[in-house]
Amino acid sequence: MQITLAPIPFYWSRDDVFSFYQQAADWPLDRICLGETICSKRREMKLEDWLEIGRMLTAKGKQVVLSTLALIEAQAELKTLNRICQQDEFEVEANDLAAVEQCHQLGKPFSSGPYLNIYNSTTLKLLADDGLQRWTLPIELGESSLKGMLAAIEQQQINITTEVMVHGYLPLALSARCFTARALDKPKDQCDRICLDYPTGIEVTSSEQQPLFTMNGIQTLSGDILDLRQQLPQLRALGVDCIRISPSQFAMGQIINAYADSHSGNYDTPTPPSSARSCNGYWFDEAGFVHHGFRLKP
Amino acid sequence: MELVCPAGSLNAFKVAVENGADAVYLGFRNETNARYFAGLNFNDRAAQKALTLARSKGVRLFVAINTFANELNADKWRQAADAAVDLGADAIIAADTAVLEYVSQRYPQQPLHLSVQASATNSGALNFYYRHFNIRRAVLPRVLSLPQVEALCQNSPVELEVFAFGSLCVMAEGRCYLSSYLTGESPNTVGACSPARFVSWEENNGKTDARLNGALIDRFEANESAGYPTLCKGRFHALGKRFHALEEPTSLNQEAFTLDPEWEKRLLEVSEGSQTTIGAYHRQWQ
Repeated sequence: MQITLAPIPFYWSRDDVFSFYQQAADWPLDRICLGETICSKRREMKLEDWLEIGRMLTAKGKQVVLSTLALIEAQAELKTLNRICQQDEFEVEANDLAAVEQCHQLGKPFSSGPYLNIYNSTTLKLLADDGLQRWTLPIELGESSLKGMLAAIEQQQINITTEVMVHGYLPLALSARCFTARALDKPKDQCDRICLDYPTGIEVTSSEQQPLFTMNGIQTLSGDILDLRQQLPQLRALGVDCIRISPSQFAMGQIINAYADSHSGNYDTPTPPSSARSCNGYWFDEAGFVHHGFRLKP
Repeated sequence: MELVCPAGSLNAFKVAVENGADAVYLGFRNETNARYFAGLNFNDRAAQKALTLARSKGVRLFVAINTFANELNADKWRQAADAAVDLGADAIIAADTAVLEYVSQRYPQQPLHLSVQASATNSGALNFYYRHFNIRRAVLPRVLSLPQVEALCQNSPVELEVFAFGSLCVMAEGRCYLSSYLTGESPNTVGACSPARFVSWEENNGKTDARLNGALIDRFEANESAGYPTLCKGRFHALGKRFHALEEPTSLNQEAFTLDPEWEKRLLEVSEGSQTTIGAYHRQWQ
């Protein structure tokens, strides 16, 4: 199985982004997705900056993908999307059907992140005919749905690579409203790009201190962090081609190394701690925030 | 402009038909529609009665099949589509590509509307659905500002429908998994947000705790009315304060028309938290 590093969901300074990917160049990763997927007001990084990082990572032997905005509302956002789809250096990851449509019109093969609602093989087949070469399982689906999809892919001989998100904050919802700006009593249009001050989002807990969600601008992420490292043997046995790790903090090296270690059969150590506790309920067709601890060793 | 209205029961359907709706939409009694709640929706016989009623008043009837077909039991969605066509629905409102493809291939004459649950918020996404399924109309998610809706009207390949009054979805519809994160069930998979079977209210030292699958969504003082724990409208803690971190209990009500005060009063009576907002249509809400 390959390992993909998903785009950074948070808003980090340009220096931090460059420094993060300098490190990522040496992590045991196969693919790295770059780009702003959450908010078009986050302008620390220009397309040229992403291309520069992409070239650096390519030189280090990584496969580089340019990921695109998940919620597209304005004409200006469609134009930015068009610039990304038009470039010829890197593959494009579609997070909205607008990106699918543009790639199709350009005759350009593409992949998809977890934001496209692919719940059945009919949808997958139709998108594959439009040029989709790699898809990501929707986050709320678990092992039983994945099994059904993989069986259908084989039966219908759909030529596609399957990726499953295994680590990181779950991308639960997108809104027109900026929750971060609102929590800080700022209007969205005068947000002062305040997300920069919250590099791992803002924790939202119940009145009983149960972590529920994480505010990330217009996005609501899970309160706990998905961790499917103990499920890697099943993922491999099912025929999943690639696992996806979403940056949940700046220091991702140990987490990625732990996942890479598991490839060689080392499951003894728990996944190194990240910025929140972990969950894996979706995998078992349960509530996403449920956490099943260590099960029998593979 | 056409006035479209949902109906969860034959009685509601009748009220809508008799009070000026140009079209009324309904769903069947299973998870194929996004309002799958106990006691709501239509079996074949009730749907047939609704159709007779609609035809007698020259009102159009739509059927919503707007959840996402699971790979393991996709037949259920195809059967719902067959039933809607057999009924003679003037349009099928669908979100899932599998449902849209099934109807457009098997019943090419059947008008298709794109459901709000498909989350098409821009002309690119609308073009995708128009190219593949020849949709006639799209219902816009409640995330666009009025100027954005206006711009989209200029660029859309199909006619557009917008929400004027009703429940306020804070998130882009069809792309919200908050409910399944806390309960395992979401609008996309089972047609329900914050499903009732996970809800509990407990008295606790004079306060009422409203929970969803055990998670505390809101704690009401004795003088507050304890509302339904819709999870995006609870009071949570963030940045050291307790507040409606995502949204207050409220319903959507646009301000494009001046309302008779008596109507306004009646709308408020059926609104969540007895208040309304113009939501994302106004930039300030965002």
